[in-house]
Amino acid sequence: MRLAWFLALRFMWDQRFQSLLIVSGVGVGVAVMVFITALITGLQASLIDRTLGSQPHVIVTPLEREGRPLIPAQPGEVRLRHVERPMQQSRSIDEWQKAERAISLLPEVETSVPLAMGPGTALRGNSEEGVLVIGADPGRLDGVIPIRKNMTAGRYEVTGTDVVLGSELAKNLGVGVGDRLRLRTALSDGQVYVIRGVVDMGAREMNRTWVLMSFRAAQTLTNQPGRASAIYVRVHDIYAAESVARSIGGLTGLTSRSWIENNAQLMTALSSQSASTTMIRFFVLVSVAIGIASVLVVSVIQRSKEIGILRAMGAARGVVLRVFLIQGGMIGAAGALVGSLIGFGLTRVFRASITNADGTPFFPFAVTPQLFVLALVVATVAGLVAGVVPARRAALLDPAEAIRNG
Amino acid sequence: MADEPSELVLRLRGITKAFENEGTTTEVLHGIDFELRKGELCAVIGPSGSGKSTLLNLIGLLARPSSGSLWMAGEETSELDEDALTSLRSRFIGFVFQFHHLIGALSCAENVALPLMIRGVSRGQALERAAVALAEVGLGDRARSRPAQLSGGQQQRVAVARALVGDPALLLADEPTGNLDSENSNAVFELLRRLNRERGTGVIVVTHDPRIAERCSGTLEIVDGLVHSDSRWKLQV
Repeated sequence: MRLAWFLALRFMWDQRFQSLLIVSGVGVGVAVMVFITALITGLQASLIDRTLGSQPHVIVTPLEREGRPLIPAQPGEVRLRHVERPMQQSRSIDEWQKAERAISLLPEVETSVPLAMGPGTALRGNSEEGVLVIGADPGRLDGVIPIRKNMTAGRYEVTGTDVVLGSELAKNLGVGVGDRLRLRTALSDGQVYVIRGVVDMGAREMNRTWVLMSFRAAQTLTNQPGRASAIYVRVHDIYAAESVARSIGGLTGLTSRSWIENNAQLMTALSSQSASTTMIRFFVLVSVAIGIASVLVVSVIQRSKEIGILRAMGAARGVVLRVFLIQGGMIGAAGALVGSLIGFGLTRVFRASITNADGTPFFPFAVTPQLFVLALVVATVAGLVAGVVPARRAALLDPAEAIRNG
Repeated sequence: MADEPSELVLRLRGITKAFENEGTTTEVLHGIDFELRKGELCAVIGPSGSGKSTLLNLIGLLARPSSGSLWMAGEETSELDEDALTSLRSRFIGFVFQFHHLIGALSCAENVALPLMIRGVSRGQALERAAVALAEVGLGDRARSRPAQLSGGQQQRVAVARALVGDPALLLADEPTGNLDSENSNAVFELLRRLNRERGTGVIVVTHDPRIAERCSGTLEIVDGLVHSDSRWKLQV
């Protein structure tokens, strides 16, 4: 093995211009892979982050009642019938404490919170706005959906008649912290509430409709005393949310939907984006490998006399094989180092030069040490694989033939 | 057999070699018997295409005979696999070719050290012994030079040093002086002869040069794939 390393290094140094060229070529390829991976991973992470910034990972709601035919068909009988979906009267989870305890015992679950919710109307002077009343313990809801860090005014601490409004709703009603407004629902005449804060959730729909208050106050306002309309769940691994949602459904008998199911379109877009990045990376990798292979094939042809001499002197086939495999692997590894540097530099340049209006970077690159380790491993393996054909060719040379004809 | 087996470096019995080419079989060697002892220096001569190089490749274990038996250092080689042949080459045979065939990427000392490194000797030790071997061929001061910086005669002397550094029992030289002027040619051959005398290395030289053949301990003349009847090489059977 030492001999193979010695020869591989000397051969590469001997053709340093050629080595430099191919290492640069591999470097450019690796730079593209590093850059595109950092960009897409970062973009996707920030998209998911933004999506999950206002949504829980899993939403548990009462079981939806299915329509059932009133008269069953007899065997051998065909009935024409119209089945209507029943009214979803039971909007609440009666035994939410039991369900929540079961949910919190799942190891994948980080935290959860019961909510009382319902549609309502906000009145202030002559203006009237349709709102969504959301009642939950502020601390616990903040643990599931980040709210406190999105406050634009006041604080998210609500008890009794305190409420926090979505920013757009506050604007439309012309109110701010300390102001009062009346809230009512179809089931309750409601009362006057004091505004303790304004929140900007980053999504228009929420900013226009959200009214946050305490769990108990919402139970009263939406007329579901002692009950909850939903349980929001935060899980440790967001990509496992789907299976967690299924086990919650099985455990509690309630309807349980993950953010993945609720954002099917986003997920489809993300996965097709991932697929196209994978394609790009794959083909860049293939062209890198072909580049390495072609340089090594030429090198084997140029050195066939020397290979013949080595074999005549008693160098085993395995030594010759390794000499060229090592060269392939080293070109890949060196290219990965060069490419990682270029790729890292590119992300820096983009981050610094293209920014949002507020000065934050426009491209959310995900530059991690793992990315560079992965680039190194992938490029080295590609180099080794690329070296297989030339190395085998070199190892199988007939020494007598090679010495005579080159 | 009268001789000690250890004295016998090489023994060929009824060696034939045929090549297949586009369905026709051409036999190049038609049954060669030959023996070489320690300290003998044999010139192989013959017209072009008579099979000299083929014979040398067989003896060098770079090709296998079509039939017959070949003993190298007492070991019969026809049943050995590729790895075993490679190992025999590494331990017992040194090569010098018409064109020096040094490895351009390595210094002279590294070229000479290669056969030892192939045997597993550490680089440091191999380079030390290479320096001694280079001094023996009069090139002690060129250890760090690249082959391309040397003259043709010097390059061939480096090749001789490389062939002899591992103290092989048998040295095979395929027209080692064929590419050199008479002065260099003489110097290289004298080197081979001296090492043959001093170390007792068995040497086989394929040559076209009658002046070189005359100075060997015997001549094996190959004509049309057979040992010529007038050959001065006597089989000591």
